Amino acid sequence: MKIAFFSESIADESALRILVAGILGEEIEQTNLPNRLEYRSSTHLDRNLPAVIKAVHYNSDADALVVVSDSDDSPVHTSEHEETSVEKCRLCQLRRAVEETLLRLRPVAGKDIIKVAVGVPVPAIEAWYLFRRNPQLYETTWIRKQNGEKITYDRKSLRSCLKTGKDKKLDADLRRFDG
Amino acid sequence: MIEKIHYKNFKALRDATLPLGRFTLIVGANGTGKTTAINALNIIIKPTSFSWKEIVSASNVNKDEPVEIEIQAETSSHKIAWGVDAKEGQEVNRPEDFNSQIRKKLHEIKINNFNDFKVFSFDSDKIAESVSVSPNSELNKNGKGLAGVLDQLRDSEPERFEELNNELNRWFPEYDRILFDVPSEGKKTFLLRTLLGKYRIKAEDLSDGTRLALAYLTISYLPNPPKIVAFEEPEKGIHPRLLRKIQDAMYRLAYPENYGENREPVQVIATTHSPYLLDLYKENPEEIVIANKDENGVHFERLIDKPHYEEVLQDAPLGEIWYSGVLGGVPAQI
Repeated sequence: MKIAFFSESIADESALRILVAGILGEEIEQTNLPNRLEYRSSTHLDRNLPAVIKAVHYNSDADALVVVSDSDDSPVHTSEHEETSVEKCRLCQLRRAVEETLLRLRPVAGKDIIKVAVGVPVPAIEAWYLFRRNPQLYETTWIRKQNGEKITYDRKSLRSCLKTGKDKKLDADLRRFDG
Repeated sequence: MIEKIHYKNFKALRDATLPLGRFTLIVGANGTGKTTAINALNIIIKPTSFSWKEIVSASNVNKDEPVEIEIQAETSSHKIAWGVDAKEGQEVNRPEDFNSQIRKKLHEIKINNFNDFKVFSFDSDKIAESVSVSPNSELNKNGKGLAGVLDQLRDSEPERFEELNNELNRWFPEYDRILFDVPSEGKKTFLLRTLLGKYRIKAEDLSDGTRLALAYLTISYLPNPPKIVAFEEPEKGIHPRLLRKIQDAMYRLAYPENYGENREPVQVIATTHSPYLLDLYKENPEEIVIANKDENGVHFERLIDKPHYEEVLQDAPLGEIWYSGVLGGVPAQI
């Protein structure tokens, strides 16, 4: 399957290729896009996602586009959001933008309308990278933090842990979780 | 006006065609031949001043394929080719008959004003340097000589010089006039006078951005600018808010009729890496050329030649869309 990725860095794209290939159970083929797709902030992503979807649909041989954006401080997406979209939820926002754009696409000869998958790591993609080592780093933990529970790790901790292998705040949280 | 330039085996440009208009903004990643494409015009003007090594692609040094630069103008076409008998490190070597062909082509080129070409890549320190007083001052590629050019403009075209001062004040409201000083015998330098207090600020004490902007402004007010001008990365050292003024200066050269000028239009080519500068061309997509590099070499493509470009762009900011990579012209695919 030919898949284009729209992510924040070359490192993220490399990791996402492995993740998506694992989920699909098949090799990801290179598209004929002239360049890797990259955004520099969530605002940048929001402003440009419709154009990127259109360009990938009309001007490339990609079958699908994978978009991944950190949830940052937005509310964590829950099953209730599936019933009614929540305005400030990052996943709901991106899904709305994708749906609106896909509705406007016209078919291209010999190609189906592009499929778009949206991923929102909570609170940041580093949590996905660290999840196997620290399985507590998932949405429920972050919801507990958003609900005021004493959980001190943050996006900076995750980045630091990824770079150096440890972080004081995260280590303290993990010890507490284990206890 | 040059409509397009075709390059073959010319440095990084193994087989590429650069489409040009009255104004062309080339965007692309580093190493996609933007500067090389512009510098080819310098080589066209003085084809015998360059060595084989300076013009040939690295992949073609030991091959028998000629290096070619072909210019297609509105009414004519000119091709200059360099033979294969030259050896690395030697001056470009040509058979006798080829030599005369080059002379002939150069004659044709002169008629078409292709020799009146200048590339500018400004260096703010050079702009500030004092210059020897001379009746025929010229602005160098790096901006050296600006004091002489301004001095000449004041003496020969006082009205233009006044307009330039007024425009300077619109660009930089804190300054109201360009003044001159003689730092040593036979030398001249420029200063800017502050609006408030009328202090005289020496060129070397001005900010880099102010010096660079003044160089762009000055070129745009010259009565007889070169027929073809290229600017390398005009955003360098310039505050993003001032980029609209820089665009305005470049447009003044390219579209003099829109600025009350009676002179001939200048063909302007600029290169950029700035999404902010690119944003200013949203309404003029025909002026944008994207440089891409793949395993087959460098390619130039007009934005308007991309399929569905209007639908893709719509209300999105052009600079950001370019940054995202869907238009090409960003660092290569992994």
